Amino acid sequence: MTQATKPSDHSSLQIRQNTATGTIALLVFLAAGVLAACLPLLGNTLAVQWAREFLMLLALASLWNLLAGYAGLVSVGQQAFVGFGAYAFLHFSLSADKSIGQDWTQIDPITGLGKTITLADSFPAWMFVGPLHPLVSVLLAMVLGGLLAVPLSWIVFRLRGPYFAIGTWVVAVVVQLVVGQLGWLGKGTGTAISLDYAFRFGDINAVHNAFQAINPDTKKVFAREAYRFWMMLAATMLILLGILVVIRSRIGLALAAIRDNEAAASALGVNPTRLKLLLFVAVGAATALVGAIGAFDESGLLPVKNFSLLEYTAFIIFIVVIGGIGSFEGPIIGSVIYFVADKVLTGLVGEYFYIVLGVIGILVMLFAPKGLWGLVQERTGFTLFPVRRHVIFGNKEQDA
Amino acid sequence: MLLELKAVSKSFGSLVVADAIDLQVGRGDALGIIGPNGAGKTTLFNLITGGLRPDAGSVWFDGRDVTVVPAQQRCFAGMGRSFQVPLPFEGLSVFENVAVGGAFGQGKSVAQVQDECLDILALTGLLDKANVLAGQLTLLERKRLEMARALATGPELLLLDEIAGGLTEAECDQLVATIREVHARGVTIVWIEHVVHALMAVVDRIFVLNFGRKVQEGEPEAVMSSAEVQEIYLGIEA
Repeated sequence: MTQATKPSDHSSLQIRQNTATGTIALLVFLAAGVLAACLPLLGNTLAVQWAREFLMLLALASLWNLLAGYAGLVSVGQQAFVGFGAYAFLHFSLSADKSIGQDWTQIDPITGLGKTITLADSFPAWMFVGPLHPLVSVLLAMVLGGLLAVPLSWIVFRLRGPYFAIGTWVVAVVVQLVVGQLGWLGKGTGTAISLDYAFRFGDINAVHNAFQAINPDTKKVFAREAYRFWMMLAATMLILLGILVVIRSRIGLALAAIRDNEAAASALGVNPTRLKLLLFVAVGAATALVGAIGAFDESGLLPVKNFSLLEYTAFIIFIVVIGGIGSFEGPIIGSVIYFVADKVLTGLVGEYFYIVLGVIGILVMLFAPKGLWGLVQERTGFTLFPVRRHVIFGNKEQDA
Repeated sequence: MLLELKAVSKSFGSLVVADAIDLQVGRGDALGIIGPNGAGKTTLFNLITGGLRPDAGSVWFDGRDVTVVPAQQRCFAGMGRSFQVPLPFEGLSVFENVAVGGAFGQGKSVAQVQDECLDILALTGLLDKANVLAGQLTLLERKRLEMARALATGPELLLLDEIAGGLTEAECDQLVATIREVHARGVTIVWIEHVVHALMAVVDRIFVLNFGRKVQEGEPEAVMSSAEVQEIYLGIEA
């Protein structure tokens, strides 16, 4: 294009995305991560468990927010990836070696009688590659979660809006039912990963020894719990930082464009199909990673539990909605509120907790439809992790 | 020819919205498209830009058959369009709206296109609104944003869909001046418009569409004064 008339030079104008507040917020965020990593040193099992539960909520909420809040993909089926990741982790913990391989009891649905099966006898040895190190297992679960997202996208991406939401739900149920049929993963009656599995690996033993050096009474369960907490902390920090990088990049710009209007986005050169697929795969992989880490204990895997719509999608949506959908800060605020409400109110009012939760949800939707963080932003224009690109007009405009 | 439609047809059920349309637009042309409501003007745009695929016929752009090429690739090839009902990205600022067109329409980074985007904001009179969320713009500003975004993709061909509708006389004059400026910069224009006097101030050829068929095509004055066009378009008995 030639400059036909007025010579306009705007190279003096600058585009600013980050702010001083943004840099401070990021440093505080990183410092909080480092500080949190020291938590197991206190030796309190409950504190470590609660912190891990909180991190899982935070990671899942932030991932769901990326899908729904940034790309408009309102999935009600992310529990498919949580459960799939958990079961992938179980699979990689199994061994065909009889001396360490697992046996478990399966209930015959017709006779109601229990039958003990030995994996090494019931299934071909080549199926079992384990026991793999938990870090390797969760990374493999992540890769498989990403691969699972590809065929699922072929089905659900044909659907739009509410149909997409219902489609993802249906697909998640199908994944759950299929996994629940796999005999070597314990079928629908569930199974567990033994504590012995964790202590086959040198580094987890080393963690145990280190804790014992501090406190000789430290149990193996605590060392494993601490190890798992660190895995969850690392995964959550990486997921959140990754999300921040994505939403600040040109990809984030394109995702927001697709969310606001897909036809206009594609007329401007954005490829919505490819970007949405990329995001769905990345979020699926990260969700499976979180699900896999969550499964690393012996409390038992059960399809109805690990593929829980309530735990891994309904509550997650609640968190994002009350915190503020479409903002990086929203899921963080929402996770804190939900977690505190869950831990405090369940003790105080028991099952009435759900009623209180419902009332909070309704009030927020009525009076702060953009969530609590949305309300703060609307009122004050304040943002902790700036994403918008701001044009700076020299001295004509003050920094916002 | 920059753009060529060869016998393009499209039906929605039994409703024929494009009936074997032939259209040629040369480089540097400014073509106006008029026709009554429901004549198939916006459908024609969707067929050109890839929002819809024709049932028959072919669309050629810059010597290449683009009939089955998706919208975003036609954008790379050099087509920029505005939408009749403005479709701003409401959660993004005005600058970011334009930056989407710049970065993705030209396949560059935001930093590489930012000066050009600011230039286009100045040209379309939106520079002082650069940091405003697009959802808060007035109708005139939204229409300008439609054009600014399309321009940011670096188009050879700019397709404008009823961009003057609903504006006051003064706003319309400003818009005409902007479009003439864009045309003077070497961009080929195809403009659908009901506001005929605005159209006449810019285009050098008019194409009349009715019931999905070409009725007439030629010099603006001659076309507008023809009895057939007056009857169809203006409802004047011949």
